[in-house]
Amino acid sequence: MANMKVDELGVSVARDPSLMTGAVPTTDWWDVPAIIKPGNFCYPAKKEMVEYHSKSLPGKFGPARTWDPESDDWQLPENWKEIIINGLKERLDKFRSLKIFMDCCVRCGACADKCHFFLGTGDPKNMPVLRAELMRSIYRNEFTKAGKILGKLAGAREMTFGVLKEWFMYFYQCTECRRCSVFCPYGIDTAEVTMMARELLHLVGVNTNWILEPAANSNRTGNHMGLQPHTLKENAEYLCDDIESITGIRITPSWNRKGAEVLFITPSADVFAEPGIYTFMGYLLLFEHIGLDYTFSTYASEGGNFGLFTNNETMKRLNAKMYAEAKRLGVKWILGGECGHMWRVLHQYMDTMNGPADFLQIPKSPITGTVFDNAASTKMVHISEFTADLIRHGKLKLDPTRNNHRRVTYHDSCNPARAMGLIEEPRYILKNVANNFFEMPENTIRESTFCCGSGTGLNTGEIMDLRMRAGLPRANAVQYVKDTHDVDTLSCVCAIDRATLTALVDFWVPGTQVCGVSELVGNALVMDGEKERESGLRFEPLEGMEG
Amino acid sequence: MNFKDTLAEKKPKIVQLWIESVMASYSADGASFFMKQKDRFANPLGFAAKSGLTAVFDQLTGDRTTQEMPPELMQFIKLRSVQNFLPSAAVGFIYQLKTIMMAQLGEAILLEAGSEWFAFEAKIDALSLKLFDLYMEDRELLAQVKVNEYRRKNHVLAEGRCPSSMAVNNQEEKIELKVIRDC
Repeated sequence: MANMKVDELGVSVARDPSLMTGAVPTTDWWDVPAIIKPGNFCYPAKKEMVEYHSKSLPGKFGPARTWDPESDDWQLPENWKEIIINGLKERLDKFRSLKIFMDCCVRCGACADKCHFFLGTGDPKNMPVLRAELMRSIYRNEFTKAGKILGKLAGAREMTFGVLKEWFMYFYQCTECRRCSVFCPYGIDTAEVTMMARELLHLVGVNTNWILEPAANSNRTGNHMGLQPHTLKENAEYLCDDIESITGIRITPSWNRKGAEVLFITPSADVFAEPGIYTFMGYLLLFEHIGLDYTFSTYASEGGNFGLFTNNETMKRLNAKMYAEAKRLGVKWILGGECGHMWRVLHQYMDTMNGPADFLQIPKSPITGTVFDNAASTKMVHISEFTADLIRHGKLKLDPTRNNHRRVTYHDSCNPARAMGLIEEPRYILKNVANNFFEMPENTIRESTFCCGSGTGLNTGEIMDLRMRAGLPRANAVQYVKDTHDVDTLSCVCAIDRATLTALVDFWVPGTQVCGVSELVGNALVMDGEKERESGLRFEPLEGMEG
Repeated sequence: MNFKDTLAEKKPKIVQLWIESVMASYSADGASFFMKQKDRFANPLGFAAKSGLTAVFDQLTGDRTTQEMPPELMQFIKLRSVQNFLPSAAVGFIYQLKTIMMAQLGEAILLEAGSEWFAFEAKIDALSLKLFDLYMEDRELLAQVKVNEYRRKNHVLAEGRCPSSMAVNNQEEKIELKVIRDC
């Protein structure tokens, strides 16, 4: 009896790959085809978006068309292979880093298990080393002697449609978070490999709408959302109404004001979308508190730069808008809000693309006199650096008990942490504005922080499953501090984080709120002439005010 | 030896084989990593699977008295619900336990155990239904997460089209926002 059941179960259930295991075949990685199906790809860009971008950057975005990633006809240009290979050659000549990254990997495997996509899927092509190999194999075939002569034996393969599909799938399963780079003994920046792959994909018109439309909006209207000047201003006014209801203080931010000392630039999501709006209210309260001479701009009304996920030309153009506006308004320096990849563009590429910003002054805090030498070339200071300096000099009246209703942890947003070394400032602020602050485990924070799983333009709804599995390592650490310290608030300094972590914790750690660090600053700030605070900036009752 | 004693003796082996068989649903590289890395934060999937399966097996054998589903197993099912598995594959690993137990305990022991073994099988079947319920809860939660994100208007990022159409949307949204605030 028992033996019969063993056989029966073994055959009908346990060994049936399609039902039981959903197995990935155990063959060489390049013999496993990428299967594009709903849920694992982002929707392609609308035709008019490609047309719009192509007007100013002809040839960089491939043919404008309607195409279906699930079909086997992507309506590519006839010479698409030639375009890719020539594009790769051009970039190898132009970017020494790419040439080095293609050559110097010894496949030691240090990065292999550091990617959140690998940890959430077990798919070997999500190991950073193998993801880069998707491009290196083509590089070897076309540009190295060994590859040309020995072919597969030297790890080389030809560019085919199957490879293109693989690129579209896996270079859009990389959030360019650069966690893998922290562990690479050669310092290979795998994010830059992804950036180059995406540039090449764009050359033949393989793209996603979630990236190209915000980039178009940003170029045309000034911000990702496509908010026009009056809408931005009015949305900000609604938030000022809320601030007045909560604090009794009326704030009137200035817009496009020439001669202001500081231009403040933040992600447009902060003006428009929850929970970023509460962070925005925090900024406004801070500036009012210290009497900062600042202005917003409707032209440079976006901190984010989706050009970073497109090509270097678009990135340069969007970054340049900030500086053009700073010049037009005649400000002394730029203060930047809680944004993620804005800071990567700023610290790693701005100087090469548009710098140095000689027409601006080296940022100096008008309140404390601190000179931010670290921003001597870009002339742009992070709001957390600025706020931490104010606290350090005792310039803020703070009542941290106003955050007693929150038990807070801090997610190091990838780009500020790894691309600009912003590690201690947000923590210093949090410890001064909140009494209940708890760190997540050490190997999930600071330089080793885990990505939200939805950066680089992957924060779109059609790949929600993918985002949830990629965000597992981050969510898992949040769950741990919830279990051990009853943490209910996940703070961060990135607008994409604020949007995507909200969905992530909704799924993995329900009951957790996501906020910007500046929201908690706004809660704690004791404003001159304010009324007794009964609620926080999202109208939630403060401790002792629940009744 | 009777059923209970043999089960106690073979338990570590059975659990190990069960975990390995579940890991076989991932790529060889993935499975190897998930099995090896012990740090729960560096390897959340492996940790959830190993701890969850061990704990639930303890429940089946009566070594763990609490009837609550182990949180690690719940996390593992949640993850399976968003990975590339058919629903049957996402939760069907529970039946592999029967196969493994039958092979490990042997025909003689199982025949002798009779009703004890049938009762054990019934517990596995009941657990499989619980896991399927969990899986469905997770899928429904995922759908809700999508709706919530839509309500937060993330999609505006890629639906703006042109400034004039945004102006129309903004008018409506402003009214909506105002109404929400006034409430």
